[in-house]
Order: sequence, then structure tokens, then C-alpha cells
Amino acid sequence: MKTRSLILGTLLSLMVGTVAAETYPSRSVKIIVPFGPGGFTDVVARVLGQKLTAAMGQAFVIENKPGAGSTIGTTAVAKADPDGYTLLMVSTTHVISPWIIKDLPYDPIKSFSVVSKLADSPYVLLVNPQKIPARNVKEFIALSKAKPDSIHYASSGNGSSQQLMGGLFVSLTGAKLKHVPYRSSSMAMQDLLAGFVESSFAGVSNALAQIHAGRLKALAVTTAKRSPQLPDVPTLQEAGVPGYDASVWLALLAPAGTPREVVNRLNAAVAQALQTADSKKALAAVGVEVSVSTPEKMTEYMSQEYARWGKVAKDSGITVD
Amino acid sequence: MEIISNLILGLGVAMTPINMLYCFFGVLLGTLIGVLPGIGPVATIAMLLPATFALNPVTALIMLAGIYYGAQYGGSTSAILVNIPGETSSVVTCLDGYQMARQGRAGAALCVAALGSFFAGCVATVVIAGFAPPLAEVALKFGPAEYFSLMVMGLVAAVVLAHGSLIKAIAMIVLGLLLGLVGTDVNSGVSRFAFDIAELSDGIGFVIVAMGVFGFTEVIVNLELKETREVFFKKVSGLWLTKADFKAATPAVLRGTVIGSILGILPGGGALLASFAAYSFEKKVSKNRANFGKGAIEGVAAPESANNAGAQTSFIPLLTLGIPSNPVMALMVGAMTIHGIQPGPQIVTNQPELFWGMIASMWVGNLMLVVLNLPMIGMWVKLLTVPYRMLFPAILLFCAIGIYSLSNSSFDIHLAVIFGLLGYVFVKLSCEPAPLLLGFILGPMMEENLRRAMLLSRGDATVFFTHPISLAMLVAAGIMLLIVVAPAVRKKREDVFVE
Repeated sequence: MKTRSLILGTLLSLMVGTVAAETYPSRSVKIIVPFGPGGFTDVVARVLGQKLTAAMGQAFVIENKPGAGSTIGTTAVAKADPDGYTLLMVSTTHVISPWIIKDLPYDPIKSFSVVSKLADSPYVLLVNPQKIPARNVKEFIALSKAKPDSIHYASSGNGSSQQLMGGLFVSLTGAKLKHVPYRSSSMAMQDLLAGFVESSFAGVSNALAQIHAGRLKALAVTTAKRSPQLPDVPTLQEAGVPGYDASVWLALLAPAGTPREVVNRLNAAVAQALQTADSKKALAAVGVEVSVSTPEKMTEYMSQEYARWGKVAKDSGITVD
Repeated sequence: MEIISNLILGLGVAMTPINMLYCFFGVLLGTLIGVLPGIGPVATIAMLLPATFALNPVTALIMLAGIYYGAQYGGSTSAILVNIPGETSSVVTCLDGYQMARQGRAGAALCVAALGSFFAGCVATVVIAGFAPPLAEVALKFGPAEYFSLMVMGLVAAVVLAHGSLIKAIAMIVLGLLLGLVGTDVNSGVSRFAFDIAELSDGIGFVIVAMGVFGFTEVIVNLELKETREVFFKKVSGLWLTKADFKAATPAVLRGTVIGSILGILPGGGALLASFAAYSFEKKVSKNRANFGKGAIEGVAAPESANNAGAQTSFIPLLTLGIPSNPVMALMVGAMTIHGIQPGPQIVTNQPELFWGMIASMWVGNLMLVVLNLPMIGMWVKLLTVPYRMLFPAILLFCAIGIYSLSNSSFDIHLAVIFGLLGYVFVKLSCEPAPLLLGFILGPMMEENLRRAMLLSRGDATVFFTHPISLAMLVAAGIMLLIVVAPAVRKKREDVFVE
């Protein structure tokens, strides 16, 4: 009797799932962005929201829920009904915050069903040429070792991806750099430009103007392949840091337990929406490259990233508070 | 006369019908959200960002900029009429603006706010046009040490802000500093006074505190009063300035404009800090200082000019260095990038139509604002006749919507209510909230920069004295402190003399 009802129940829920997926979306869908408006996560979400609205015939509404290293908005989605009507836009921060903030009410991997990866944003190692005479990464490392802790690197705060990019660099090269946290990436950029700090890892799009104006020197990009916006700048691997391949990525998630069919429909719609020429152009403008994947692949990648940044956070001594 | 040809180029862009239309739309919307307490330019611009996709980039930026400086005009209206700042940068306008309204001089207060803003806006436009690149370089001279000293100077000025007891003022500043510590410490990443509440981990928002201790408190206090609004209204006289008003306000407007233009350029400064600084300064130098807090027209003219000047000059670091100095500017960066414009030093050379068009549009927009606002003064003043039982629920509703829109969190509204009750206690103890707010803004910045400066100097505290700008500001702070203390010293001496 029990088994029968279980089977019946499973069958029923499968049917309901199918029905739900066929009619999905039948009302407006909320995409929670756990960051404030204006940043590149927000801009990508808004581009995607517009495209999905046009493609799926229902409004995809962006709601910013910033705070606490993206964990406030993320918590809200982890607790939402897994019906596909509440989605979450995350960045690399999603797998970093659990290492920095204790007692999160969710698991960054298990509490979510991945819809798709969306984009990659390469970072670039910048130095202020008036303070650092290094012409390449090797000279930069040598300089830092000659006078330990005399070279600082600015980031947008403790546990930020800007800090961890630097932390990864330090752990792979043994460079002796000192971290200086700021409240935002633009404040960090300001002091780098003025020469109060000497170096920084920053998003390519945030640095382009300063690089072209000659105020900052780009030593290398953090990804395994060169950035289309900085074709003359070598990758860290080319510049003599084997094993360095990191970018800040964006992904679309749904609460765990969202019907498979709904996830698949969304995945297909996202892939279609972002592969268009104008989406690519809009995303390139904010410095990110479209990069979509299957839910399975992204789930696996997210787990790897979770482990990797956890190790970097520990190695850099970012304390769990 | 390159600047003139540049401005003509800019006017050519700004005066096209489509750009004029969107500029008008921007300033109108800005005025409206300015009047509504809580709803600010950040939320509005964020909501409008996707709508600008379809527009030409210059048109989009002209409209978004209009929203920002338009809000500075509108913010003073609710500050003057109902003692609730419509924008954070109108907080100090409440002090004397509302007192003027109580004396039946609401029209004059609104008028001086609009004219002062207009003048400041025009001057700031010229400042941007003529000196943007060199001024941006000055902003780059401000490192952690300079910021620390600037904040020290600001805190000393905060004492001057108070017009009651000195002890109470200092107590309120310290309380403000403590409230500013709530949240994750930027330097160490340690959470302080957050009690494991996730919503507190980024600290308490300024808008929340300001809406609480000004907005909600004002409503609570008024519930106690028997005084009816009709009586209040009968005292209204004159919608225009008298000759004496002009004479008193003109130097205040000039000083406010200068202070606002300077502080606007500094990152983290902008309109808010400018208005506080201008009020404190005016209170020290004005001949009419005894009347401050009791409806002095200078106390409206100076901060209102300063906030508008500051709002506009805060575009300088954005347009010339590509660095946003406040959240609104960060949104402007977002708007530029979605249109494929890279904010940074080469905008002036690569896209002169955009750069000069935007600057010229500010002048056009300011003219529209003054035309929009002056005839409307009569209408605004009529608002005073709306009975409290209708006005107050509406105000509370708008405050709540505005606060919620900051980060879509109902926690923030609860927090604002707590600050509203706290504000009521302050009123009962006759403690003033303005110094608290200044301590709240300056404290975290001061700590952050102190520690950053020490980190960069490897623990050498002499940096504050070896950097010339930093030293100059510390000296100025010392002098101001002496001025504050001096009357007390003099009084004691007189007491001794009497004996």
C-alpha cells in the first residue's frame, strides 16, 4: 500500500511537473539580484530579463536585494518555492561568501538547481607605472620579493573577488604583496590611480579607460585566454604563472527542487537569449563575455570553484567571522 | 576662448528638441521624487536604466543627470513645509527652513532655496566646463591621510552645528559615531554590533536613520500638538523675497556655492556633505548667527546652494577620471557602459558632444527647474492647508515606500521606525539629531581612512602632518575648536570678573 501510494505520488508529481513545465511561465517571474543596482551583475540581469520577457511571453522582473556579501538575496531565494517563479543571479561571490560568513542558512551548491552559466569576466593585474617600474609580471614579482610588503594591492573589501584574485596570485607565485581593503572597487581604483596603492586586480571593463590613457599599466589578464578587449596583454600563464586561470563568472540559479522540465526550458531560453549578437554586444560593453552551459556542467564547475576559492581564502588568512 | 566654443557645441547638443524634452522629463521627475521623502534618485535612476536602452546615449545621460540635480531642488520643499527632508541632502534645510515656514515665511524660504540652487547650479556648470580636468587632479591628491584630516575637520564642524547645549551636541556626535560602527569593519572584516543579523552586516543606511529621526519623529511629535494647520496657514505671507532677504541671503548663497563646488569634487562627498559643511560654516561667519535654528534665511540659502553645486560638481571625477564619487554616479557609470561609453579621461577628447552636451544640459535643466519651481511655490504653500490627518498617513506611506525601495527589504522599514521612536526621545531630551547624522556619516569614513593611512605608512602616524593638505586641514580643525571653546573661556573670565 505504502509503495503503491509512493509510486502514485511520484507519478502524480511528475505529471504535475510536466504540466507546470508546459504552461511555464504562466505569470511573471522574479529574478533576484543580490547586489545593488548599477554593477555588472545587475546590468547583465537586466539585459537577460528583457530578452527572457520577449522570448517567454511573461515579464521577468529584476529585484535587487543587496547586502552581506550577496547572502541576503540568496537566502531569500533558497527559501522560495521551487516552482521556477523565483530565480537568482549569482556571481563568484556566491561560492566565496560561505567561507567568510558563518552560519549561512543555505548551502551554496545543494540548496539550488543551476539553470545556466551566463558569463565570464576576466580580471587584469594592474600597476601604477609611476610607482612600479615593472614591465612584466616576472619583474613585478621580483620587485615585491626584493622589498617585502612594500607593494600593496587594493581590493573592494575583505573576501571580495578582487582580494581573492590577489590571494591566488600570492599563493602561486610567492610574491610578497600586502592587501589593502576598500569599501568599493571604485574607491580602490581611485587610490591606485593616485598612487597611494601600487597595484590591484580589477575587472577589465573597469580598467580599460585608465589603461588606454596610460595612467595604469596592465601586466596580465587572469584568464587562460587573452581578453578580446586587451588583445596585447598576456595571460598570467603566458607571463610565467602556470596554473592561474580565474575569472568572475555569473550564473542563473533556482531553488533546489525546481522541476527538471522548468530548468531545462529556462536553460534553453537563456542560451538562445544570450547567443544573439545584440546580447553579446551589451554584455561586452560591461566587460563580460557570454558563456552558457548545461545545468550539470555548471553545477560541477560551481563545486570546483567553491573548493578552489575556499582554499585561497584559507591560504590568504581571510578569517571566518 | 575655447571654453566658449565648447559650450556652444554643448548647447547645440542640449538644445535639440528631443534632448530638451528628456531634460525636462528628468528634472520634473527629479523634483517630484525630491519632494517625496525617502524616494531618492538612486532607486529612480536604477528603475529607469533599462528604459534608456532605446535612447541615444547623450539623451539618456541628460535625463538621468536631470533626475539627480532635480531632486536637490525638490528635496528642500518638504524640508521647509513639513520639516521632513525630501532628500538626504536637505536634512539641514529643515533646521531653519521649517522655522521660517512656522513664522509664515514658507514662500520666502522656498524662493531662496530655488534661487540659491539656480545660482549654484549655473556656477557649478561653469566650474565643470572650465576646470574639470585640473580639479579632477586635485581630487587625486586626496589619499587616506587627507581624508582622515578632512573628517576630523568635519567632526569639529559638527559641534558648531548644534545650537543648544555643547555637551548634548557632543553626546549626539558620539552616538552617531557609534551607530556608524555597526556592520562589518572594512579593514579587518570583523562584524561589529550586528548581533548576527544579516541585514545589519553592511551597516545602517543613512537614509534609514535620516527618515527615522526626521520623518517619523516629526509625525510623532506633531501628534502631541493641539495646534491646527489652519492657524499655521493664516500666517503665510509673501511668496517673494524682500530687499532685506536678498541682502542677507546673497553672501550665504555665494559661500554655499563655493563650499558645495569644492566638496562635490571629492569622492564620498557630494551634495550631502556639502550641505552640512555650508550650514556649519555659515553659522560661524554670518552676522545673523544668533538667529540660526530660529528661521534664519541664511540657514536655508547656504546649504541649498551647496547641495546643488555639490550635486553637479560630483560629475567631475566621473567625467574626467571615470570614477564615481557616490552611488548616483556609480549608476551613471552603469548607464554609460550599457550604452558602450567607457567613462574615463578620454571622454572629453573622444566624445566632445557627449561631454559638453551633458554639461550644457545642466544649465538648461537648472533654468527649467527655476521656471518650474518658482510659480509652483504658491501651490506648495497651499499644501500647508492639508489637514494633518490626511498629510501624515501619506507622508508615512511615502517614507515607507522610499525606504523599502532602497534594497527591497522590510527590515529597513522596521529599523526606520525604531529610529523614529529614538528621535522622539531625543526631542523630549532636547537633543538635536543633525550632529548625530553628521557623526554617523563621518565616523566610519574617518576610522576607515585612519587605519588605511596607517597601513600604507606602516604604522607611521606622522603622515598626517607631513602631507601638506592633511596638515592644513588639521590646523583648520584646531582653529575651529578654539573658536568653539573661546566663548566659554571668555564667559568664565567674565564670571570671575563679576565676583
